[in-house]
Amino acid sequence: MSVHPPPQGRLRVSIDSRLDQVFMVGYAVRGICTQLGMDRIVAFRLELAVVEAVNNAIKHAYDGQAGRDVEVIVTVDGDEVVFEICDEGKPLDLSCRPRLDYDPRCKQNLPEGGMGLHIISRVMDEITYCRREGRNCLTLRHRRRPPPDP
Amino acid sequence: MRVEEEKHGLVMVVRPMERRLDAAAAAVFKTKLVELIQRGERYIVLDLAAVDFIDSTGLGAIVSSLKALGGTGEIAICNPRETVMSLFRLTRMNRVFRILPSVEEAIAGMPGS
Repeated sequence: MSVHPPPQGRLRVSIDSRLDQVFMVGYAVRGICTQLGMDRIVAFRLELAVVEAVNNAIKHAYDGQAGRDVEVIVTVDGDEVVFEICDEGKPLDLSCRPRLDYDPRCKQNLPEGGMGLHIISRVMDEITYCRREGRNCLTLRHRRRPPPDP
Repeated sequence: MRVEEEKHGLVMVVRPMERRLDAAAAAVFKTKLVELIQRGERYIVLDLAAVDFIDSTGLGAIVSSLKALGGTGEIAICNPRETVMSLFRLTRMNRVFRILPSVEEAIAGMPGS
């Protein structure tokens, strides 16, 4: 019986800054995670987090303007999967990240938006942001965990 | 975003027929729900059986529709897949909406059913 080395690989994709193109990134992320043997829910959460980051790049960095590039780089290195979401739009302000703090009983104060960064922070093990020469890059890291003992 | 509608007494069952309720689909979906509410529908069951992926914009469309009810009536969720439930739990929206495993149970929990 052969022992396979831990997977290592890198995928770089780019989409036009249109919300109706984000699904392609989602499919790529879910496909990679599924092929890596991740649990279905984990794969969904990672797809969700990356989609949220791409949505933010389109809506906020580019103010919803089409015709710009959003680049997503997926790096698999053993037990870690790293997603980099890059754009050349306005800077991201992580300092004002709102907490998703609301009273579920108070219907009129429920959040209708602004949930993306909260979701990303719940799903990912590490989030870093850098801006260099007009290019934003949000890096999301996820460390794969072994499945629980049956 | 293709949506099916089915009336059961006072309850309108709304069934999105696309697999992804994401930012691309959310605006149209919200418009359809708000139109129903403006037509006078007050008890809505969202049957999410066909939805495999939802993001915060899709969820926001559902929340906006709930707020459009203005405190009268209800939106309940039924048949969510595990993936969809995962988003509701991540955002604690599972504490806002009644979430049932079937259309029948969702309708049964509505007033006047």
